[in-house]
Amino acid sequence: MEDNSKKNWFSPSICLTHACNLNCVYCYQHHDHENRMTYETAQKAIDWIFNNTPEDAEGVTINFLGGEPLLEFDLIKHIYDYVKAKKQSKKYTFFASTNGTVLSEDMKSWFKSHLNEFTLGLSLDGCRETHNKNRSNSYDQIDFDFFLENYPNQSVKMTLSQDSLYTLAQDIISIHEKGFRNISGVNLAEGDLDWSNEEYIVELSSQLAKIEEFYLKNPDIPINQMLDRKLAFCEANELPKKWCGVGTNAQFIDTDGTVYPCPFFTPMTFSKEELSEISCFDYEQESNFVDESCYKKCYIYPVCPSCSGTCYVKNHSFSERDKSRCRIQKLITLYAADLIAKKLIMDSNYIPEPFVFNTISSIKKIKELYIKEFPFL
Amino acid sequence: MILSDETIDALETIQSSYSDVTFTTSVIVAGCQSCSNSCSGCEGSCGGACQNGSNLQWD
Repeated sequence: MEDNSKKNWFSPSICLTHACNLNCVYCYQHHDHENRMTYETAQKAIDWIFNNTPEDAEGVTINFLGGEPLLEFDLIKHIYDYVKAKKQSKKYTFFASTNGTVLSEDMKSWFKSHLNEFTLGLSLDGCRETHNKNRSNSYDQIDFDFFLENYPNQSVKMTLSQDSLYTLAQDIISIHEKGFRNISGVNLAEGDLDWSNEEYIVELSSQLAKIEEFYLKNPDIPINQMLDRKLAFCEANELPKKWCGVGTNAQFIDTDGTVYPCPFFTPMTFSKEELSEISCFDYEQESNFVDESCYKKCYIYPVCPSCSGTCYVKNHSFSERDKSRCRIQKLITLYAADLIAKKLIMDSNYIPEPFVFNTISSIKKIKELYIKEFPFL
Repeated sequence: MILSDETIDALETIQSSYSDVTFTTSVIVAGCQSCSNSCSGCEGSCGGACQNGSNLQWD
């Protein structure tokens, strides 16, 4: 199995199908069940990927997406064989994101025999009730043991809906107690939550307190990425930069072979006119992705997650961030600061030695700047 | 209570044993392989190619 820490890996995606067997409450895609990639197009997609891999890339991760990509299992096998036969000079691995509901015994057997090259990542929203409400009653269709036994270090993808905010802590704990050590974050963007509603902020705070308590009681479980913020970055002294791989490292090849900047920008989400405009954008120019007002004014800018795609949806701009989320990001950062502070007090080796001083400086500054904005804390 | 005075005092005691080090965020590496399936509004769940500040490991 490849080390998960991959620096400079080219990470394009191939959309095998627009079809999906679920209808999740927060899904932003329009599913066309007849829209599938042909093998001929897939061959061209693979050729494009290896012909366009940056020279300095250490390797290539070929991501299979959908819809539900495992609906096209036969095509996945053919693509795999095609890549193998080409004897690529770069290292490569395969990854598929799945809802976990369509895995047959034959498919499990094939994936088990290709563990060194192929990883499956599961979408899981929490306990049975939450997952079923969000994801089309699919909880009992998932063979959790298969994922836990074969991909023990792979994080699950968790998405929050308006309903599941109230069980967020219970759901995160449930995922960990089921045996999944890593949660790749909590997707706060796809749902319809109106974060200008103070009721949601107060509820999120209550949930974060419970999540923090869980991680402090279970120090061996990695903190999910929502709270595991590298706070020392706030003290780093550098120019703003583009953080994500949109248009340069995370291209998305649709079923018809069209290359889009990232999996967010597809015909499943945008109109032809919008996609045409998007395709003309200069993705190499880093300043096109920097929100100057955030960079100049906000201390937590270096640790504030932002997706270029969601910026575009909200503001028709890759750089202008969605300011309606500023308050939740400050709140999450406050809890992250408290959690990291308590972890550091328990074990000063929790942060690598060169970053301890600045992590502590940032924690103090975060308290000074933001805690007064949340009188209920 | 989060970030209590006691917590900050304890941190300052720890901090006194360390020195300020100048660095840039190039010290980090991308976190996971699941980026491309979750860049869609990931808000921290991205990784791999998507080098989001909240989602990175120390090198």
